[in-house]
Amino acid sequence: MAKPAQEYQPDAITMVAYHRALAEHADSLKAYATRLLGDSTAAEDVSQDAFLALYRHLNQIPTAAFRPWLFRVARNLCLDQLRRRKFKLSLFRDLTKDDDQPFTPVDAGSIRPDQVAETREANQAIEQAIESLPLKFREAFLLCEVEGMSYEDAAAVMGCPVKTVSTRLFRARARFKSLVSRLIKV
Amino acid sequence: MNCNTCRFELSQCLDGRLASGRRAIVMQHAATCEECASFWSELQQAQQLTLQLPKERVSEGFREQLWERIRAGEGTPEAVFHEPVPISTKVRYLLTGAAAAAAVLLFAMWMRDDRTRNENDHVASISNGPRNDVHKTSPPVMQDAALGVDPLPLFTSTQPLTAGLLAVEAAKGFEQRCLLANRGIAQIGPQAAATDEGMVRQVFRNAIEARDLGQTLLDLRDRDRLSFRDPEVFQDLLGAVNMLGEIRETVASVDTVRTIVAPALRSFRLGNITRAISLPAALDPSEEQDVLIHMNVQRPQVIRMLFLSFGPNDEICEQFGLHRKIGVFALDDQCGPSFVAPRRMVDAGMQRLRLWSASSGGNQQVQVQVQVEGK
Repeated sequence: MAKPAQEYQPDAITMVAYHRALAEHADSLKAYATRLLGDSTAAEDVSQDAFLALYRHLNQIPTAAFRPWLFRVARNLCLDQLRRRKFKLSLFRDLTKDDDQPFTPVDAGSIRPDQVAETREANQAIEQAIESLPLKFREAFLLCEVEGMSYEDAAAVMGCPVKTVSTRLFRARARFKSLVSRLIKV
Repeated sequence: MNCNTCRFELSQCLDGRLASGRRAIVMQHAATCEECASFWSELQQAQQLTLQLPKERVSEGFREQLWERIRAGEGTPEAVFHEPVPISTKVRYLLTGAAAAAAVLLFAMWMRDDRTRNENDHVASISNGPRNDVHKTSPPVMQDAALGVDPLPLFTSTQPLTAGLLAVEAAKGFEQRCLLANRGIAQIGPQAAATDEGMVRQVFRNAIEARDLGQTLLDLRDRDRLSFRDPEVFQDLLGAVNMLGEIRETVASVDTVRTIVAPALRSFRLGNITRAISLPAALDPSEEQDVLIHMNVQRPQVIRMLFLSFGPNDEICEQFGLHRKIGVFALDDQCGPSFVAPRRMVDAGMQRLRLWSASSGGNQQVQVQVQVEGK
């Protein structure tokens, strides 16, 4: 149940910042939500909800804080969905994943088909490794390692101290490294 | 430098969060330690792998749908502000709740123990034998109860008569008579030459009642309706009942008190007889009734001593061929019912009952005073 919208008309400068946030963070927000939820369609809804919420709170959020605020909201929405659809997701995750695999046309002249297959396989292994991380470690890993967020912003998103972020990130990296060891050429 | 510290700091190094001086130290360690060097290399390569992941993109209609929702005036989803509650917080709440419940439970148990201790203070004086300060202790409630006690206990304590209830009440009655008899013996004193005759008679009366109640307990034991946890308590009770077996109130004397009654009731274990008995599971109703009828026929005075009975129950009398005048389960010489109220809880000499009369519109309160039969 959504809260009724408040009557608020943002000024032009704020709207420019909002459009810019939409252009810069929509994709990464969806990627973050996808990796938390394991469901691309739901992730897109989550990121749209996050931007809708941002629009409704434009008068309260400073422009510089748009990014962590969006990720924080997306995180809350994802955790809420995970809580409510815990079992359903685990049942249908594999099916949706195959359907959602985007078709990426490859320049036949530059990359060979076996290389394409190899890359796809490697990407799948990496995604699986990320997915197998415990939720707390996964969050830190996604925010800092994948999205390149600062420890401070990640701490604001996760609602924990910066030191905790660095510890979780270290552990997440160590686990991830061991999970993808076969892909690492030493 | 510790390798674990080094690896942790290498992770921070990867994000450019280490000061240059510290970074130099960490790198120096990594250069000399093969394992840390390998860790650093793998960490960098793992990061490269994640950076190679294809970028996720929102669908083409994402923006249009978003603006449609904004224009439609859709509000913020509720779940946006649902902060997940950490497990530690849940555990804390759980522990707080459990602690509160435990505190309430302990307080209730403490209150109960305190009440039991107060009741046993009287019993304790038995175990210590005659004491000079006995007169300082407050008399039992049943003797102090005033006229016009609220009728509520009469109704709340009324319950079906069972062998178990009879055993419990007999044990408590026995303890109380022991207490009263010992108190009287203490007042008579070992050296008194001339003693109040009334006091001697009172000691005798309590001793005779204790004997009857003790016999009831032994009868119930013979019929497997109770057992003694401590065999010494059983032996003491048996001895007391046998010693008191021959006394009559008509031959009450100070010598008899000193030579028979005092030695018979001296054992401190008799003051804790309630705790020394255990009751078996309830019998088949017909067997239970058989035991009760037997107890009534054998010792009708005990039932009258312990309980107030309510209403006639002709069916029981007819079923067991009992004459109404036999006096069992009796109140006002009527053959009685299976519902009783322990006198220990309601005996006040006189009970004031408030009844609601239905004859005059149902709102008239009638106050009736009932004279409860004396013991």
